Amino acid sequence: MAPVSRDRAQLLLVGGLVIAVGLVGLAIVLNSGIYTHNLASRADPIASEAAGHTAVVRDSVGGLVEFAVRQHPDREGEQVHNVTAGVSNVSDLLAREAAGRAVLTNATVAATTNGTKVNQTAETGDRAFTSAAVDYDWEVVTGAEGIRAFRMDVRRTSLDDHAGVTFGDFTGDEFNVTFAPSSGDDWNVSVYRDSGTDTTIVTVTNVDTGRSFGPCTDDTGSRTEIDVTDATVAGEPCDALRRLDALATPFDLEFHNAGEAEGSYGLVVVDALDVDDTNLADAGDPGPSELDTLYSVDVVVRFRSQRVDFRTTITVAPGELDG
Amino acid sequence: MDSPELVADRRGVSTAIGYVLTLSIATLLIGGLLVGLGSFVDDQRTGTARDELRVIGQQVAADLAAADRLARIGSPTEVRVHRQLPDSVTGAGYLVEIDDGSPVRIVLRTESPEVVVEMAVHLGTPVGDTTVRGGDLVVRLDTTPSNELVIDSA
Repeated sequence: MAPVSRDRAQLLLVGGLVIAVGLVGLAIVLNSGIYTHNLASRADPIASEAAGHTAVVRDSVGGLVEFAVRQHPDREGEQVHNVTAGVSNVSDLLAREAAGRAVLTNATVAATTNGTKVNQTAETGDRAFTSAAVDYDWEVVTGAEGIRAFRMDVRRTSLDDHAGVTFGDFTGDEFNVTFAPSSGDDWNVSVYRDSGTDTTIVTVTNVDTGRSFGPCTDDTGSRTEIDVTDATVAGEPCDALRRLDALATPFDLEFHNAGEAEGSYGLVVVDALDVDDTNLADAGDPGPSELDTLYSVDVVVRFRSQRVDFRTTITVAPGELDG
Repeated sequence: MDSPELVADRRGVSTAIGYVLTLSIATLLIGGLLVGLGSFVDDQRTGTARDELRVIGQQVAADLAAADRLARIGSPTEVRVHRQLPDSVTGAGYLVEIDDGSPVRIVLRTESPEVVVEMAVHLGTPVGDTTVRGGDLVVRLDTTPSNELVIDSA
């Protein structure tokens, strides 16, 4: 009997070995799966960090440009100098902060673009948006390749009254800002009021199709600030003005029925275009005038981390249409 | 067993027959165990390989999307997104194929076990048709002649 029982034990041993080998195989497969799922669930913000870093540089340099323009009006050389020095400081600050996360960053100015600011200030009080020669319909800029920081501040009571007029219908007397590209559709930004509700109304119309967008309204206070390029009316987002992002370049910028709006405005355009001096007032006189102003800065942004190597050149033109 | 009559009585009992019966039953049991366990492990391996390829595909898609996003910021001259990936899934090597189109198709395949996983990602930047062996990868922007994303082995 003894030899038979020994044989049985051997078979049990073989069976156990087979089960053990199977379990080891399963463990290897499971381990492989766990490793991959561990990879999948790791936090991975590095790629989006590069985009975020570029956005921070864009915002910072945009602030520098606006500050330099405000501090040194009509002195382009000093604006460029200050922005270039400021970008270097911004780069150092960001690089120091990024180094703690094992990321190398750098930002340098590659080029600057000169521009012209056309503005009518509020220093001498409200004035109609007419030319220096008091033309009601006049061309502010010819052949603009780009426009930024186009802001208007209007007194509501000066605007054409549309009380009782259905939206989309026009009296023909409202103040219009017309963007007329050499190819593509013309766009009108109409500014008027409803005296019944004491509201400023801004409407955007595709002149070629006749389709109107908006209205964007403001019934606070007695004045309304319209940021055409940032698409806001009295600080609130205005989707209708976003339609202008589709504007083709180059375009002419015209004011029509400029007697139907009083207040101040300012806009910056690229230098290599025609601003008709006969429409502008001499320095110190009331009416629209022009100033030499930095239009945009090209900045080379570098970002290097363990996972991402990124280098790009961004154009920073604060308050520009389409970006 | 206490009765000497019964112990001495070995009629109808053959050592050979007992041995053969024992061996046969044991062989059947172990064979069944081998076949059952083998196919179970194979099924698990195939399922795990599919899961792993899916995860790897999603990571490749995420890197393509990240590179695409970076490639559309300003005028980029360098975009490289590195990714550490396993060289094999459940012990077998695999291939990563990228087919340009709208959407871009990502195909991952192993031969043993034979598993194919496909996924799609929408990108704004064109992608070069590529096949690379699994392992560490880099998605880079090829700027000549025009912007195109390319996947290389790192």
